[in-house]
Amino acid sequence: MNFKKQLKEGVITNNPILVQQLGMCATMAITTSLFNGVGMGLSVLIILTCCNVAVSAVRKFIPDEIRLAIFVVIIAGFVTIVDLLLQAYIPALSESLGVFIPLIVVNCIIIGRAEAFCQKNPIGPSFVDGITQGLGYTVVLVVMCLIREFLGSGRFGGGLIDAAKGITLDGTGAGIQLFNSDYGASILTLPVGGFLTLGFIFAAMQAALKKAAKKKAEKANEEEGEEA
Amino acid sequence: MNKILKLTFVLFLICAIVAGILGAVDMITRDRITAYQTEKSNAARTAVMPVNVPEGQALYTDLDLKALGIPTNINANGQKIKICSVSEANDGSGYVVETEFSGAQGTIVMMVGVNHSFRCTGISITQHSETSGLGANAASVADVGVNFRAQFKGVDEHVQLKKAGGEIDALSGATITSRSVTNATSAAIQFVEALQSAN
Amino acid sequence: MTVTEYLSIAIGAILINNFIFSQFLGCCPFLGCSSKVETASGMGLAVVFVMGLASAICYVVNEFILVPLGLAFLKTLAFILVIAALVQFVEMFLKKAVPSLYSALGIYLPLITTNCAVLGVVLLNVQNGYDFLGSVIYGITGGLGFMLAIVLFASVRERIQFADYPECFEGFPICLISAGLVALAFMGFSGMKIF
Repeated sequence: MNFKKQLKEGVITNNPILVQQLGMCATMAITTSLFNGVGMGLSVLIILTCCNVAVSAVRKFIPDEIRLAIFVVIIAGFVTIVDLLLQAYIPALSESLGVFIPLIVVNCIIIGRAEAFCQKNPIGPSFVDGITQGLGYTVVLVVMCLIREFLGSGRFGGGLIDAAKGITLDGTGAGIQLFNSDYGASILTLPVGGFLTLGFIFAAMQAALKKAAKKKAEKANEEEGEEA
Repeated sequence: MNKILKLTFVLFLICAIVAGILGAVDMITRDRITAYQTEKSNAARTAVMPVNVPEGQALYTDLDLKALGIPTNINANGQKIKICSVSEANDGSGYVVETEFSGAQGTIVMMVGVNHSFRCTGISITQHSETSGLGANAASVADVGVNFRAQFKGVDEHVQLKKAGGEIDALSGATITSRSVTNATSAAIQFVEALQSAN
Repeated sequence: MTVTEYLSIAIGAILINNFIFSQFLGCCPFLGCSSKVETASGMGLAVVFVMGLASAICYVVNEFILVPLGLAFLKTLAFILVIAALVQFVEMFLKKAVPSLYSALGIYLPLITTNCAVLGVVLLNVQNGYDFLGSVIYGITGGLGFMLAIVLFASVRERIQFADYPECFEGFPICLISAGLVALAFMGFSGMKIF
């Protein structure tokens, strides 16, 4: 397994959200500003990587019957660590994500990867898997945030840009106003918008994957034809 | 039987290790978290009632609502407003009242500063779940929110929306939120009046 | 807490702040188990049951063990263990005591451990500072809200099978879009005043 292949898998062909359909709740709930999206994505990336390494490290010592229980304990441990660190050092993010940080414990991505990948693979690939899958998750969150923010309130980079410039660190900044927010479809910033945006991204992904598969098939056909 | 014992032992061991690590992380972060929480509650209060005290001194004294014996549920223009806490500014400039009430979407928690002549010195919304782009503007740091909240400076307990013959411009598209914020301001002032006359 | 407060918790949890449509808790089983009304109502019942029990037990664990010992930071860990153990226990108990109920709920029970609505409700109970009765009411009515949502949505989904939609929306995307439309209907409750 090389890094490039795993990266492609994590972000595109085996994307945790768009292909494996894991971890929907947080995806739809918190993607209202780029600040939230990036914060949540990175938190999951860090927790996923740590859990992957830990599960992979202890995989030979844990009895099979209680492995799920042990995974859950390990995951809950890392989630609580990240939760406490966020509360202490980036309190704005922890407030804005609220209950969804502790809920990473039951985010199926993490236990899913532990079960499907880490308990069979050594530490190295598990570490890479954590990073690539985490990246795949973050990318989808960021795309959702961008769409919902832009169409919903005409903004770009809500909170994040202001935080980067050091204006407001609490993630409430408006970012760059691209058009008057009165003209935005504010429904996209509401819960309903989460379902709709994710649905359309899913559809786009399916269309793209289908097109790629078709192209591949055509190419294979052509090659076969040439050979014949 | 032996097997069950072994499984229990392993699970217990892992739990103990995780709990130990968490305890260490908690020790490192606890002071910062509590410091942040005090700072935050002070910031919410200074936003509505600035206080001048020598550095290092506590800004506010929390009053015990139960010991005061004043009703904490206030009816303002037909809406029920709950008073959650009240603290007195240590330089004697007035009180900060924390109110809780339902807005258009859910519960709103709001700080109201009231001085000794029963005028509002400012309001600040600390918690809400109003519709983003509409009612949420009441709490927004953008101009629309700042201007909305600035209208409440100096009002007395008879404060009303313009629609009801008062002086407050409602947020566009968010009359329910605006009205409940107005009612809560009035309730907070009524509460301080009751507090003063009880003393 | 007064009766009206309990009532407003209940109505809020079922309609106004519905777990799925406005808080996005429990979306995975919501999307996964909603292809038939029958399975949806089974899942819904199991969730009501576990959420009510978990709220009660976690309240006790938090109030009488974690808080007095100053271990509040362990609550996520403790709650998820309590939920996992509870689900296991309920499964064993039902199998022995009420086989008919077990055959109806049995297959859904293990899935509930990773349902974020359950962990969500116990964490929200602590966050909102509900007392014992308030927690239990919030748990049960939150579960009822989940059940209402999933049963409604399952009947919508049964209709989708006969609908004509673009090919690339096949499967998951069309579900999400229709879930969005159902959520839109639930937004109608959002302006509702509760006392």
